[in-house]
Amino acid sequence: MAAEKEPFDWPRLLEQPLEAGELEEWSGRVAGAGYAAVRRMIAYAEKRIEAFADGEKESVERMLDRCRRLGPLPGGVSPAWETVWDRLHRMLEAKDAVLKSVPPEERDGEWQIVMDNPYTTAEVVCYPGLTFLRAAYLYGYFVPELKQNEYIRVQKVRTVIMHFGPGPHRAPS
Amino acid sequence: MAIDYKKEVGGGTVEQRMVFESGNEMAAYAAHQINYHIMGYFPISPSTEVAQFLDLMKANGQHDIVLIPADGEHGSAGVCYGAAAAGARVFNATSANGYLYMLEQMPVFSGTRLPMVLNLVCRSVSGPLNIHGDHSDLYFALNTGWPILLARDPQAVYDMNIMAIKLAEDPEVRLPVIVAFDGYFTSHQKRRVQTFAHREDVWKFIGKEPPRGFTDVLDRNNPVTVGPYMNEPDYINNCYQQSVAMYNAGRVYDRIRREYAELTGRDYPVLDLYRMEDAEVAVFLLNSAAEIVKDVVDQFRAQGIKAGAISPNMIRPFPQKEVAEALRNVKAVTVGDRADSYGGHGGNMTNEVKAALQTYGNADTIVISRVYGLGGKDFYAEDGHALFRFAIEAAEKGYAEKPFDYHGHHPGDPALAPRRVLEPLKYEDLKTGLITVTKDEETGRLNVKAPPVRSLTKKPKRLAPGHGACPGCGIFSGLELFFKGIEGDIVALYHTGCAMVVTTGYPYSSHRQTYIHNLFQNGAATLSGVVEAFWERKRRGELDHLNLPDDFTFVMITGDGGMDIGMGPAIGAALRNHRMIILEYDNEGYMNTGAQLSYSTPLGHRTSTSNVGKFQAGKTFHHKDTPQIMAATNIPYVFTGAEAFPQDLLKKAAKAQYYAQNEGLVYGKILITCPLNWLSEEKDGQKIIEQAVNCCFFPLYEVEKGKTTITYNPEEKNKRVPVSEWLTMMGKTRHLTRPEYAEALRSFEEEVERRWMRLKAKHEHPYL
Repeated sequence: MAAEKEPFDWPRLLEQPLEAGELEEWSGRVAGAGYAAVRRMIAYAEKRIEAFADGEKESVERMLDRCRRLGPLPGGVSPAWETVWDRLHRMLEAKDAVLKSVPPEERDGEWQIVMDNPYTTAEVVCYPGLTFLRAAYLYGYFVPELKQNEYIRVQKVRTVIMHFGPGPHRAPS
Repeated sequence: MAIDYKKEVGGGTVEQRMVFESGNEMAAYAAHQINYHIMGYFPISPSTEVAQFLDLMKANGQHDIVLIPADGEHGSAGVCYGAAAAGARVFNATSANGYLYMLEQMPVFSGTRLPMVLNLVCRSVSGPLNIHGDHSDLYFALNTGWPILLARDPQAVYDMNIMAIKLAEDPEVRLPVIVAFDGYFTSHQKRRVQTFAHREDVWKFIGKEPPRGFTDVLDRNNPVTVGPYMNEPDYINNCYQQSVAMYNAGRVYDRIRREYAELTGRDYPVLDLYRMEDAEVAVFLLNSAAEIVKDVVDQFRAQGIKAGAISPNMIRPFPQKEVAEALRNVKAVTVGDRADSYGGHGGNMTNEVKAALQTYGNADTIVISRVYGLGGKDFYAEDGHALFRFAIEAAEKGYAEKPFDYHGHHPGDPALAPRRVLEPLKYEDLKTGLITVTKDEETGRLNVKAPPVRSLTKKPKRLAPGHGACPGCGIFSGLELFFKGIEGDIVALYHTGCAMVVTTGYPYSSHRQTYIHNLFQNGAATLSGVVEAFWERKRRGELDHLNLPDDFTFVMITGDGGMDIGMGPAIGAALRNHRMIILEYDNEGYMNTGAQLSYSTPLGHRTSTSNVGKFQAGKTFHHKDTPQIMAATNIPYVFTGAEAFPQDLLKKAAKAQYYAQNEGLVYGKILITCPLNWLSEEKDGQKIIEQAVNCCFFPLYEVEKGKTTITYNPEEKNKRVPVSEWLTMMGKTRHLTRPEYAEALRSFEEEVERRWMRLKAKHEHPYL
């Protein structure tokens, strides 16, 4: 089945200059299209935050600001979206903080994200074997989700010592 | 002693290692070492674990086997047949009624000489429904043309699986092979098992690739016609060649097992003989019971009685000569059959042992036949003693006083005879008159006036409490809510599934109105028979004496994948438009057999056959849109409902009853919670269902006389949420909200959105 044509040109609507009155016109259309349009707008913003690199923070911030102005109050469309723009903004800030903390010449090699809550028995979560940009994105992705006492670390693997067991074909336990 | 410690210390020439696993685990482990191309399967206890373990290993990247969850055992056999015809190495596992459902395909396989390996995890063939171990399924396999290897313990399950594929693919054989072991006794009990330490050594033994040179359907340069129409004079020749191949299998097996013994130190001669060298009395048993009886042999020997035990490792071809030889000097043998050949004066093994003796001129050995251990009835040493005593007594008397009987049956406890403990429901209590359904003559559609649910609380429940459903199970609250909307009497048919299993443990029943069960591939056909019998007997006046105040409402309850395997008969019943309701409770899996995926399991959801791991993100294909399929049969009424929206469901139940009594078939689907297998909190049940509706995964709508109406639109109420809001509430789907599964989530979201947009278009356009 052919993909349905996207009725909104999100890159243009969210990231290009618009003619006078155009924003209001499109805002009305987005509101008219309701949930489906807002969902796609949010998905575009999420993708943009996932993809942005050094020096693009301001343009992504402008994009998020355009989202706020173009869309209706998302909480009115879905109770799940009461704070969606704030959440995306926190993602942007957290990822940008990582980008700014690590100069480009130190970004090669293997990176990890580690999350834990030392006051619970839940297992430590580790995302191993990441590139720096992927690790920076995941750091930004998880920061707004952190619960009480949870922490997140992004760290570079400096030394690896590895040994394989008799596997890889082990009997199921 | 029965335990052969020599088996455990590891002999042979190949490097081995010890694991502690069950029979099912070892079947899966052998399969993953072999690295079959294809496994077509369908869940049925107790064999299901084989696919589950393989799926778990697949999720962890331990093998490349393509696991295909078929729509029933017949379908799974078809998958295997096609794959074998295409030159693949093929594997399957099944049990009991599942085996019987694929039975039609078995001679097709052997008759066209395509090798594969089927693990038959032996279980009672019902009804009444019994899921425990006996050999009634195995005995149906005797005439299918498949060589049959037996495995008495998990070690043998592993070893026989390795040998089976080599036997199946041998050029002198080229037949599909069964490895049969006892359900639960062997399939679920863990034992120490020696395995090849390296799969490369398995491949050296069986060949890494299946032998080539046999035409397959993918050989473009050699087109082949597989399974032609074949009449006389050729057909009998085909059968003869098959017969020759079967007898070849006996000889080839003997060669293979010697090679295997050299490699591993474990030998499986065609007959396992225990202290038979000078035995005067013997017991002949298959599989797990044969291990137990070895202890009994030792005990009789200690008393000076020359006892021995025989257990074949292969029963097709039947080792006739070897059996006759082993019994040559035996005065009497008791053959224990764990299944009856009703009317045959003995089970199949009894009659084959007798035939062996007769063929080889032994008219002296007395054969006593006892059917034992049916439906998983345990076989203890005491039972072994009893079987020996029959033989000892016959040997002393020179004849068998009772050549054939059952062992272990009993008259039962009269106190447990089913008796009425609940009085029949009163019609006037069930017919409240509070719900009215009228037809709009202009539109032809129905108007329902239903009071608030609380007004119907006095209406009796159709199911008595005290059944065995899990805490938080949504089936019965969902069903009872639906039944609140039904006025008067019902006759219910329940498919196999949780709702059936937990309400009918003999001699108890939770059903306060008439209930019938049939296996879940055939419920709709069965109920259509009941329905038409009702109308015809009513027409003939045969029911007049009952003074029925109203016509019954006939309801089929299905779930747990019943609309996968039972889809064909359901569509058949719909096309015939019988006056009945098919109500599906959708718990998104085969929950009664251990949470395997069904076609209603959505993409990415974790089940025991769609595990989550580095190499697999839960179920790999989208959920079945059963209401739309049923709507396409143009029945008068199709609906979806949810307990979280009670008034909506109540009205739909009333409409369903009207249509089922007056016009034809109704199909309805209600989403219900399964906290046990959704890995969710019991207290969240209503909220989870509500979110499933609000994210438009499970939209509430009806198709009445072809016109679609969305009966609750969350967008209009500003309640729509992303599917992730629903998925985070269940442990089985929480992984989907993590960034590494973003693609799967996106695919699921897009599919939900596509179906919702299509539904909205149908809602807006009367011709869609």
